[in-house]
Amino acid sequence: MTMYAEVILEYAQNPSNKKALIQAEIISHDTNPLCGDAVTIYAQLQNNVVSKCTFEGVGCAISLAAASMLCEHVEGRTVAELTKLTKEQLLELLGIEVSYARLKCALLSLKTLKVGAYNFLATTNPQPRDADSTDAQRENENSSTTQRTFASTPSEALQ
Amino acid sequence: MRYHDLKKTVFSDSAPQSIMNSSSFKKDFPLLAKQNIFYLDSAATSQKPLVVLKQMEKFYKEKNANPHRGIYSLSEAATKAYENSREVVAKFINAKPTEIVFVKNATEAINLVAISWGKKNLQKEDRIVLSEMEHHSNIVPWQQVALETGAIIEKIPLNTDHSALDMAEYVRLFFPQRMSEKNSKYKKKVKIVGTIHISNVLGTINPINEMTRIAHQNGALILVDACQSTGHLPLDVKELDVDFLVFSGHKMFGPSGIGVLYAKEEHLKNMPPFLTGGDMIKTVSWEKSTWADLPHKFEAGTPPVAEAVGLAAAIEYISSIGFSAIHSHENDLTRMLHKELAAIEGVIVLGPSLKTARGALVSFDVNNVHPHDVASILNESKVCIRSGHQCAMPLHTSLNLAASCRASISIYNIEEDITALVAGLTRVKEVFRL
Repeated sequence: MTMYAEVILEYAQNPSNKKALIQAEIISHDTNPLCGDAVTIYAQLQNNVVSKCTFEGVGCAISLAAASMLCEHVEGRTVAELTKLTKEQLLELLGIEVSYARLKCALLSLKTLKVGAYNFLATTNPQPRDADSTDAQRENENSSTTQRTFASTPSEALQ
Repeated sequence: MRYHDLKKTVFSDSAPQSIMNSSSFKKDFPLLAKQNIFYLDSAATSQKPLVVLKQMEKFYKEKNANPHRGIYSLSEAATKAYENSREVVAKFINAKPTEIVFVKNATEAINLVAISWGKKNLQKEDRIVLSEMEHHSNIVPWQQVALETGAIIEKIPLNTDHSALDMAEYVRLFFPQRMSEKNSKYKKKVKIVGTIHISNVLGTINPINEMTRIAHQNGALILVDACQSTGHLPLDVKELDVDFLVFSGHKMFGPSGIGVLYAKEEHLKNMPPFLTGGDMIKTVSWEKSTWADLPHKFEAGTPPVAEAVGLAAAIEYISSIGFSAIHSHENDLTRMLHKELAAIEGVIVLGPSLKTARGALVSFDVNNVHPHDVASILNESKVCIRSGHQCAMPLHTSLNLAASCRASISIYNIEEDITALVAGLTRVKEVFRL
């Protein structure tokens, strides 16, 4: 089965959402140096909900189509929901069978968006660190720390 | 037949069509005989002829034991098989067996030189000169040694049309005036030159004789990465007069896991061991150890015996065909490949023009299509090419490309492989509506 379905080419060659949104609350950039792919994802928020999502970048058709489809898909979702997006969801969105060698192309924009979302949450909702915190709070803090570590190592962000 | 004679006689359109069209060599390669693919990625790794696989199997079935250790006959047979392979390699490049060090690949061979020779001989502000078309394997080990020793890396730039090295600039790197210029960061001499023989991206054949002569005149050594030339062109280290020459077995019909470092004996004698442990020692006490004689001083641990046997079988296979036939077949197909690619609108061919001799590979770029997309679409028609930065990111930066595509030729390729590639590229353009 071809990876180059009509719809993929359409998204890759004529992406309607390929533009910068400099006023966006989430701006996240990452590269795939092995391919020379680079992407910047912009997500504008209203009450922690994505009101508009766009991207800029260079790369192969698979990575560009994935970025454009992802941006479309996440509008209307909360930032917390962005952090929970999975690789499977993205592949379902693409609707093609992505070969193993091309997975990193397909997943670059998802990784970039998730890192952006985690960083946004980390800077806007710092966790309480006082000595009186309850067990529940502490547990919450632990899991959040885990999440933040998760986010700061992009290669793990998709696991 | 030496390379210079080849250059005079074979770089022409004269090969008999029968060789190009027949699969006389293809039948020697079980994978290609069985799978219906168009394999154009031999510069990454070659396919393996049956004789190589058979010899390795025979070794395991009949001679397997740990060499250099056992007193029993089987271990002696393994030792003989291993050392015989070294002699075959030595003869193949006109070296002495004591000058042949088995390593796992060319990358390890360069690491050995950079670490063992480099740490001993390089000092702060000494200069390491590398060509702009180096593979990462001949850049990164030197960067690491430069970090430790304070040595400086300089590059030999490409000429203006990106087809060859700028030899005038190469000569200029040695000028003593550069060191006396005011505020010059170059205060010390060039200690070593590292260059690829045939560029794995451009296909350029670098003038090793001339580069070596200039390096030696200025008191520098030279290391040559011969990965893309071994098995394609005859190599004679005595004639080339290089100090170090490295290559990998798997690119010349041999197995993976074995590579070769050739070094002049005088250098090996003065270099400290690279990896240490078993097999590379003469004596060990709690206080100190002494080293085995050359070349064993540089081969720690149980060596890759079956792989060495496989490499020797590969060399025998190459010799049985002969460089003249190999070169004539590969050169004709490479010329055809170059012409066909250059004729496709929107395809840009990298490297030297058809007027210049080149290695058996052609890299290219399809306008407005990422090389990974090109390779994926070609894969749908069973055409295997390399795409990406080809382990030469600095070179691609100079070419102003993030990545490129490469088709490479070996003796088992036939015209149909190129026809399939060209048809595949037409399909790429259709898919991308170009």
